[in-house]
Parts: sequence; structure tokens; C-alpha cells
Amino acid sequence: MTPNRMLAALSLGGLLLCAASAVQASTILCESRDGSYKYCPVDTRGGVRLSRQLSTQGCWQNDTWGFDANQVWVSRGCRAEFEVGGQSPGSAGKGSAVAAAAVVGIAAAAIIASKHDDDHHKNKNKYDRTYDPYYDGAYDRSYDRSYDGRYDHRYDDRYDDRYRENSRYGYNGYGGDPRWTFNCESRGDRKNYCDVPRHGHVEVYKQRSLSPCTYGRSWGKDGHTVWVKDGCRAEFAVY
Amino acid sequence: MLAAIAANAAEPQPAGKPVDTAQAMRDRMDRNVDGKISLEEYRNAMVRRFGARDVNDDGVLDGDEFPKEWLAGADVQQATGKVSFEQFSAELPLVFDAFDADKDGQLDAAETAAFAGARKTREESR
Repeated sequence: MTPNRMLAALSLGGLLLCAASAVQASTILCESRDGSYKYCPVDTRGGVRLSRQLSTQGCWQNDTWGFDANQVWVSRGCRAEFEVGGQSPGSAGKGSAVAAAAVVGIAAAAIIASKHDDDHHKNKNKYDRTYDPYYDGAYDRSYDRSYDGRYDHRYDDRYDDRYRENSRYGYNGYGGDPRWTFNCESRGDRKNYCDVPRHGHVEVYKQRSLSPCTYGRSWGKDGHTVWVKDGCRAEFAVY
Repeated sequence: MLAAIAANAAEPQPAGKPVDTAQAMRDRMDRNVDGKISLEEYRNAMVRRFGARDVNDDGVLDGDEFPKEWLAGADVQQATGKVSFEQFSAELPLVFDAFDADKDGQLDAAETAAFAGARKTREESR
């Protein structure tokens, strides 16, 4: 039995268990359009769990989604399916049995870490670590490359998403509003540090310089401080 | 990291210094700056990546969109070279749980390191 099959079997088992224990669970769709609040009336006494996030706009509990006794609410572009009344937190979704065979990404890396993957040797687009200043290092930048292989800061969580405004992952032109913005500028080659005015996730909101502002290269974050260098000048957003 | 905060990052860091994998991951995913990755932080980060990859907006990563690095030896994916958003979404909690060793719903420093290390191991096994 290969590790993949084992995982598939495990997941299938989990799926069957869920089906037995969470018969009264139902799934509702609740979507914030144009960034506005949306209230979705439902009996929440059996608990609410975000079962599938549909928007790249963030869905953060008690921030852009939440619930009280008789409704689920979403805001600021969060669109998601919510499982209501399900007791089992392990119900990973109907797709699990299929998806388990299609192990994606990091989990697969661990599960099959010992399995030699010959196909990667044939991959012409193979990730070239020598070009990656973060290799070993390596936060694995392969997750952050666009389809043509270049690093793409649009992968940054909560990056202003208007370029995808009408995509299935956004909604009706809503790109999400930062809760706060601040400027931080590197003049010439000088590195500069700026305090982040409040808690939250920081991303480039509007780049002001011709020099690129690229996460990890010309800007970055250290705790509650943002640094810029190599001429990166930008308005940063705190979400 | 704590030292950097304490010093208010007043001292420039050496250029080109290798960044710790797990820490870099936390920097990017850790929205509330608590040093840990929650399922919610993980989910948002990964959905964002999927959406950005899906250039033709059809809810499936295939062809050039399909990240070869995500294959990780999964038989079906190697055969079909595609993954749907539904499959991907369903995987996220499973992936997260696999690394949440103490089942507290957070990937702490050690768990994040294991998470990052798993990918590195795969890189080296090529």
C-alpha cells in the first residue's frame, strides 16, 4: 500500500464517519458582495464552521465573518460555504475521498517525503534554487511563482486583489479595503524602517517607485516593523 | 525575531543572509503576529495562491497553471496534471492537521519547521 493510498483510505474512512455522525449538518453559502455586510439567517445552535472559502479576499473569523444565534455574517469580500449544525470538526468535505488521491502541496511533501519522484527530473520548468535568495533559507517560493515561473507578489496574502475583480475568486469588482495604510520609502540604496501602525497583515498597497517592491527582496516585515530597500517606495496596507 | 522587535529593527541585517524557512513562512502567513500559523491563516494564504494561479479563471489548475512543484508524487495528479478548487479546498484541513502534531489548531515554531522541512526534504530527494 502506497502512502497515497493509505491517505486515501484514511480520508475515505473519515468521510464515512462524518456521514454517520453529522447527519443534520447543512451547508449554506454566504457572500459579501461589493464588500458590504451580508447576513445569512440560519439556526447556529449546532455550531458554525467555515467549510470552504471561495474568495481570495480574506475570511477571518470575527473580522470578516462570524455568527450569532440566528445568522452567519460576512463582510469585506469574504465569500464562503459554512457548515451549520455539524458536530464533527473532521468533516473535511465531500471532495476528500477524491482529493486524498490528489494530495496537494506541502502535506504531500511530508507524506511521501521518502518517495523518490523521478518525474521531477524531467520537469523542464524545474524550480531553480540557485536563483532563489531564500533557498535554505528556503521558504519554498515555488508556492509564490506565477504560472510562467516568476515570483509574483500577488500571491501575498491579502494583496490588493482588484486585478482579479471579476474572477470567480473575487466579487463584483470588490477588491477589499485595507484598514490602515502607511508610507515607507527607500531613497537610493538606503534601507529604511517604518513602524507598522497597528496589528494586522501588511502588504504593498500601491507601489510608488519604479524600482520593484518585492517581498523578501526589497521589502519585508520584522514583527511590527516594515523595512524597504533598493529604492522601493510604497504605500503599505494593514489588513 | 524577538530581538529584532526589541531593538525596533534599528540595525540593518546583513544583506543576503539566509532566511529561516519556517520564519519566512510565518512572516508571510502570520496575520496576527503571534508566531504561529492557524488553520485560518493557512487557508487564506493557500486560497490566495490558488486563485492567483488560475489564470483562465475556470476553477481548475491545469496545463501551465498547474504547479509541478505541487505534484509531490500524487499518482492521480501526475496522470491528469490538474487539480480543481474543490479538491484543493478539501485538502487544506487535511494538510494542516497532518502537521499540527499537538492538535491545538496552530502550527507553532516546531510544527512550522517540520512543515517547511518536509518540502526541503523533497527538494533534496530529487
